[in-house]
Amino acid sequence: MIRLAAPHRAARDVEVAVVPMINIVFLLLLYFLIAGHLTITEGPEIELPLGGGPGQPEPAATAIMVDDTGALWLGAHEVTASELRQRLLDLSQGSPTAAVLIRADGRAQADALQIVLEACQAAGVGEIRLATIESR
Amino acid sequence: MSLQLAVPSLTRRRISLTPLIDVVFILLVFFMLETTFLTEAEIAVAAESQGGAPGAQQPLQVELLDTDWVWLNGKRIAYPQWLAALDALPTEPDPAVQLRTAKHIPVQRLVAVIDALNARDITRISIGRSRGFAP
Repeated sequence: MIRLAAPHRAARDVEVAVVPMINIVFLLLLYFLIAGHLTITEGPEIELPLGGGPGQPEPAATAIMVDDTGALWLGAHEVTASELRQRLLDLSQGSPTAAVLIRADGRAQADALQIVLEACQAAGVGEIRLATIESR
Repeated sequence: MSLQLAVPSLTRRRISLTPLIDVVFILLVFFMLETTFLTEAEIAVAAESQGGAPGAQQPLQVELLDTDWVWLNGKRIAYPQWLAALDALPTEPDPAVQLRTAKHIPVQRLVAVIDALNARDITRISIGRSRGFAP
């Protein structure tokens, strides 16, 4: 005669297996918390170009984003070239040593980057940096 | 009349693990989706000045008018060979470079060229628009 396992026995086994699962989930959570860092979710999705040497990125500057279609973004808002120029002018008048970080998508056309560079120069921005993903 | 205090019940209640697991799973999913392991770097660049640099020497001209070619001082060189051609050029240490691009060149190519120049300790790079298509 074949005896099947009683159902109440199986239920108890599942309950026992929960504790190691919680342990592993906690470890995974800690790993993601410590090893990684959060992505910037504001503004468009940008795939930065590969390049740039090792070296600490410098502290926060005004970030101008250029998405893959060449549209310009300041924070979460899309701006036109003339709006960007005005904003940069306000920025450089507030602090003459203002730095600008351009987060341009690697697939964007250089024309959009030139528009940003020209706006920076017209506004007299002292320092311009281009964000990249460090290639290994 | 005596004051009656609540007597702590002796039967210990088991804390339910299910809500805890739910919250931890949600946190895990959030961090898995929002975390990046890529390290960002930055390249310092400069826009080409309108009046031209007051430097004594003629700057080295690097033009990107097409993705297959690089124009080095006006001479057309296939992209894979351009670094060899750059190394063969007789230049003074740390020359000024005028990097000019056509409109349609991808930013990735521009960064690759700047990166290659930086790797050769050429850091005085100004970026501008190309003036028409060179032959």
